[in-house]
Amino acid sequence: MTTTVYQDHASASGAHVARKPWPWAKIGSIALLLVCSAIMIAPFLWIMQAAFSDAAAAYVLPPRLFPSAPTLDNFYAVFDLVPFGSFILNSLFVATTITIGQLITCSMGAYAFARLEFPGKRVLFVVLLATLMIPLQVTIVPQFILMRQTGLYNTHAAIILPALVSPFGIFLLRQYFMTIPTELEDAARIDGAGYFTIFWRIIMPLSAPALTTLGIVCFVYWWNEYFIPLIMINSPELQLLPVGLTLLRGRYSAGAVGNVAAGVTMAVIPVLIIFLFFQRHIIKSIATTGLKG
Amino acid sequence: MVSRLLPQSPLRRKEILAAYLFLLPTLIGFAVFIVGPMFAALGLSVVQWNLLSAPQFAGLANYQKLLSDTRIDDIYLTTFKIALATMALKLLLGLVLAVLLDQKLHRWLSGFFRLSFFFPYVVSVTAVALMWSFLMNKDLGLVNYLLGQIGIERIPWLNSSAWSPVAVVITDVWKELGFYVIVFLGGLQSIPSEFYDAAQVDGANRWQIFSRVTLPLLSPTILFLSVIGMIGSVQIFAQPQILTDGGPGDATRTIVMYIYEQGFRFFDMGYASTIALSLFVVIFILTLLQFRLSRRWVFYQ
Amino acid sequence: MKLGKHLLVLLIVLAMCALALGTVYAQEPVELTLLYWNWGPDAVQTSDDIASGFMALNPDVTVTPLGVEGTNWGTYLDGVSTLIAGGERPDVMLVASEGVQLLVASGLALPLDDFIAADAEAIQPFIDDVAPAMLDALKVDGKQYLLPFSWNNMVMYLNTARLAEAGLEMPPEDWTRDQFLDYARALTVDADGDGTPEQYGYAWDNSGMFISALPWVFANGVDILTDDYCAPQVTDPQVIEALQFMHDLIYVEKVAPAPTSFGDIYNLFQNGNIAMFGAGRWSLTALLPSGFRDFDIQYFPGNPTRTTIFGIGGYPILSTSEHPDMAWELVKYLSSVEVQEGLVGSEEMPFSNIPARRSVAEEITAFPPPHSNIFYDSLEGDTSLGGDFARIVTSPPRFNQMENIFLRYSSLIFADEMSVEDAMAAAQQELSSVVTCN
Repeated sequence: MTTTVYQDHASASGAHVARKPWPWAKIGSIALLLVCSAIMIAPFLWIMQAAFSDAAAAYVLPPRLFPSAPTLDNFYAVFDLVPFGSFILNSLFVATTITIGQLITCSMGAYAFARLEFPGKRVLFVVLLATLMIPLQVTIVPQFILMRQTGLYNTHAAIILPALVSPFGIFLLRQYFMTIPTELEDAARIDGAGYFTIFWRIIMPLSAPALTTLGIVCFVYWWNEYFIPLIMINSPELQLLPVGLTLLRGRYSAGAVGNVAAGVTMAVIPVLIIFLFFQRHIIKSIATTGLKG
Repeated sequence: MVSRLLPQSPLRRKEILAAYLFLLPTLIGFAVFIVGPMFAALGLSVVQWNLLSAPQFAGLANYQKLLSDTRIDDIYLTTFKIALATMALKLLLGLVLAVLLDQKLHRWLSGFFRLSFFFPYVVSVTAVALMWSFLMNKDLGLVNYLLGQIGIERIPWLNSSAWSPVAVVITDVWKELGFYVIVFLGGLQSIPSEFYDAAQVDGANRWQIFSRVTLPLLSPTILFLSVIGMIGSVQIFAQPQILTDGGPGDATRTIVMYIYEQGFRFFDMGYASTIALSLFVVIFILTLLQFRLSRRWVFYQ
Repeated sequence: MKLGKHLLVLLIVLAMCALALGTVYAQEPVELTLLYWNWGPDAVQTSDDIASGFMALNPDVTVTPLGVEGTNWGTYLDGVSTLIAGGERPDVMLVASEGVQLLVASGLALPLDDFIAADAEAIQPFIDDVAPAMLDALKVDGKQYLLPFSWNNMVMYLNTARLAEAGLEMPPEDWTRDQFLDYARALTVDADGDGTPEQYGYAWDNSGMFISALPWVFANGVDILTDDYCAPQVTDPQVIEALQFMHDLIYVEKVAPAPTSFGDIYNLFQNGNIAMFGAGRWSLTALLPSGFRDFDIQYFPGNPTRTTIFGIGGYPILSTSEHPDMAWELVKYLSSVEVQEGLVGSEEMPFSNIPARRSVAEEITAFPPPHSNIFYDSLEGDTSLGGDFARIVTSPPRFNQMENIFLRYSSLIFADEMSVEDAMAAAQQELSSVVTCN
């Protein structure tokens, strides 16, 4: 099942709809789209004004879109209350390591499935795909017990190690590798290149688009993952950003609104900047793959 | 069995060795973190273990508990209610917005729409849920304030059994909608224009074109989205956990929250595994059902 | 046969080597792990200070503070259990009265009585300096598992500016629930008459029993479990009456909003939208640093005689410790005036809990609010008022599950979706499988 990547300019079908001018329909539809955009954007604006307001003004009626007396106090408070810098570094480290790891293991596995013949290949591939249906919650309890037995509980390894394999990643890359013509490989083989050389020198360089896609999807997924760090990590200094953010609510959820808002803002802004720069790639990657991780 | 498959030539043998070497990291990770735990979960489901004392064999006690658990029926029902509502809304709104977007618009305008719809999808779910917990506050929230402006009384979004599932659904749809819009848009733009031209020659009106041409050609996309959407929605966890912590009562407690509660708050490892296995069965059946039903309505070009 | 003998000898030799090595190893620098609830910067600061202070006195010992997340004592305890289940072997850990029974029932805590007896001279000044009610509350089956370190109770916070507007004085120390209701009515204001007050008399957070229903239940002279914690008794008429009273505050008297988070309560209280709420000293860490001063505290109202609910934190020695004697030294150090002074904090940054030592706790009366003395006085102050004034928070071994059930049903009561009788009947049934003594 594949879905086609969106095209930059309106496609033939789009042109068709617009061919006959129905100005009112068009104006109406644009108005509707604008309203929807506003609904998507307003919450972010509100949270940012709360982040820049002082404690008493963060949460007042009527709500405002701009703080009356902007202050950075909430942002300083966030770093006092929780190791926010560590959250970001931890998340960066974990998401990057998993992404690199998955790119390596998945491309190797995908190469074997796409290009090599070996006994048990089909069965293995089907079994691999079937595990996509196993919900994480089934394996998480035994994984937790495993981590505690091996002393890896409350370390980043407890998150990283199980995430290094991804049936989905193998499937995605295999589909791409299958579309690469074999002529180059045949030529290389005649020159005496081994399997690894072919994989590393020919397949990998030709697969940059698919690898980028997997990399983006994997990174976004692990940057945002909440359930697993919630279970595997217990010390604030080791915690990842998504769970760390919730710690700002503090004891009895008594954390000040402004502090939580500042934390949320700081979690959102970097993503927004990266997203603005690479939006085409990111939207395309996530849309083609359909799945998150 | 193995000997029969043994390769004849050294070249073949080399290829097979290479294949297994390439697959080695995957196979190890797979055995240790997916297949092993899968069987371990089955094993755990017949023991009673709180991790602090030694595990005790419990036979089918956990399964009996599952069947007689009065909470789990409500929790599954809540999970399905929330999953169905989010799915239906995401598919419907996603399609509508994609159709609206699929027209000639100024580059900047269409870029702006795509960006604003899609951005919440890449933001962490906790940031989104925290944000909405403020917005849906009964007395101070932006949502009730705006509703108040048009004369609607304050809604107890997070404090009532009737409204709190709605709050969870809204938060989830808001976050995920962009993904559906983009995938639908891709689907729409891949429909060859000949189909539309032919329909127009036949004198079909806009609605007829949409229902007779666009929808059938889009049905594989709809199936794809509803399968992955269903699997994701049934496992919804962070939104209700942060917004309402499952309350009031069990009104927004989803099945994954229940697994988390039993496993990682009460340390009933056996029962948590049993519930997780029941979820596996449910997802398996739902997926099969969707593919089975899809034969009736999905149209492949 | 012969081989077996040889093997046996070999094994014995090996075992002796291991033992010898072990002894040598034991003389290596001692390392202690100190587990604490990381609820915020003051907790981190305190634990770091404790570790460095103790290491300065005992240069050959390394103390490693290890913070654990948690939004309340219950979830902190979940985190600790996970950590211990995950293989961590702490020597000393912060635990609240809520967790003591679980720790003892799981065989994780060492009784301190022998240590206390052997070291009586050093520890007696401390014991003389803490309220007896606290020491008693930390005994299980007559054995002392914990020395109190810091604690909290529930008092009533009142916005004095709103009191003045309503023409009210601070309520008297022996105020009753009826008087409280009069205050709540007088402090609820619906100026524009739209049926939704802009100012509520009272508000509470329902995320914990300690902060929501228990003070009112205790004020009625009962607990939600039998005294031996062997059976639930949430269908007791006095429990029902207390919950009905709370329900009616929202839906009949309309003097309180539906339960909301403490974060909101602080915000609303400082903006004057809420005139009263119940909490312990921890609320000062939100109110004082923001410069808010228009408030005072009073005892929680009685019905008719006042009762104080309290909970204590302390540091038991864990049975997993490899150095219990050194751990005891650390526990002793925690009870010292020097460490206890660290729990006072300052007006700008007060500590969240009240120091266990009476002599040190007196120092917090130097900061606002004016009646800070009632924090410690509530535990033992003026006994002429009579009544059973201090009752430790309900703490059966399976505290987490009990609290979960109780809160699940009370949230339905406070959402006006289940009658108090029905909710408590259902809770009683569910609780009976969690609260037992067999």
